[in-house]
Amino acid sequence: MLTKSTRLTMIGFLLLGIVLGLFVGYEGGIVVKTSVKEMLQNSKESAEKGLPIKSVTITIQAGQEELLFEQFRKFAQKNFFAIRITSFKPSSYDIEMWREDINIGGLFWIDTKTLSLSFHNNHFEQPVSQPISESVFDDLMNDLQTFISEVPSAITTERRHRLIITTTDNWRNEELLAQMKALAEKHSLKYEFSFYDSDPSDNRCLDVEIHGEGFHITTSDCERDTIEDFNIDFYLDYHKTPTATSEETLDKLFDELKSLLGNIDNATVVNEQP
Amino acid sequence: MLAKRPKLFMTIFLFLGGFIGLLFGCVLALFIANAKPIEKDSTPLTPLPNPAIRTITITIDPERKDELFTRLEKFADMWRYAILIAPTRSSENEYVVSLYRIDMKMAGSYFADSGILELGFYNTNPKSRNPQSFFDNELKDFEDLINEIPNSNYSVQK
Repeated sequence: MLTKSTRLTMIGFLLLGIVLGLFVGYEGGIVVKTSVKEMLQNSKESAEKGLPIKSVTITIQAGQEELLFEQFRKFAQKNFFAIRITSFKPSSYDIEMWREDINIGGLFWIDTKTLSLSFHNNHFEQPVSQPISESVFDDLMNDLQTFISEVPSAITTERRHRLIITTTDNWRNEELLAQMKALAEKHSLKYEFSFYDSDPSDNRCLDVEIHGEGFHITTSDCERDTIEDFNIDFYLDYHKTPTATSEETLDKLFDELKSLLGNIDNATVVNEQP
Repeated sequence: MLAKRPKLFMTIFLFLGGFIGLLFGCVLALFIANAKPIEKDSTPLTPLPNPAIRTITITIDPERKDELFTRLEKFADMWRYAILIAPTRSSENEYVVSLYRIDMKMAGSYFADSGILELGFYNTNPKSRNPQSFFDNELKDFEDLINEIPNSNYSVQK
């Protein structure tokens, strides 16, 4: 049989344990919460750091890749970029250009004859607090374009706008497709709708493209995607420079589609600058 | 049992209480407490200092400039560096020489009149610390290539 004082002491020990545990647990919980917040912030910052300032796609005809690479070498020499073009035949070539303030990187896919190139801040050497002026990137892009235009078959594709559509669970992409089709029909533009998949028998991804003179608009979606965001990208396609008409038309179509999609229920439309 | 071994049970109660408190404290903190303010990295206004890990000086016969440049390109290819050799905007006598890779880089100048190439060998990211043996391994190949040029002189400083 326990004496009253022993019973009280045991209860006291239990309470003491609870108080100590509460204190340690609460502090520990705060540390866990702070660490998670810090981790999320760091990953967001590093993702932002890695985002390209400019992106461009160049398509050429077969047999002109050496001519294109030669133009890149000339551009690099003129603008003081160290350059390396590495062959990963038969699939691709890797292109990298480095300067103290900027680096340019890209991949040329041999089967599609398409090169995707992006311009970044050289974050190793350039303090994030002093980002390079956008005009520097514009000048480099313009200069690169003059070299690329020496390749007779080169078509440059430059993304001018992006609409990001954030949806809810009740979202039906048929509404988006209907609006895009209506836009294409209204302006007598070529509308292409296709299914594709890495497994050809499956075909669960859809791709929509609207083509006009000197521009195209594209979006794609895969049923199995867990992210409920759609991107609609507006591109200019040109050989030497985009025509004023194609630029103006693309801007108008962008504004029109943005207002059309803004009327769809359960969708938020955001404009992302390239 | 309880009466026979009171000390054991006091200890058990202490730990049991501690465990219950820990659990509730943790849950309480996760739901109601605010995370501590995160100190932002003070982003420097100027680039971080990036001292050269090795400094290389090469002297050649100025007539053999093209041979030197060919060997620099060969070295860049061997170790997968992007490379730039170009006359500076201010002078036809001075050439910018730069070899760039994601982890390590070389940068310097070649002076055509004296036949002297001065290069610094750096970590590309000032914050990273590549082992010094990485630099020395690559420099062995570099020295071998330079020594192929007759009457060349190669020196490295740590």
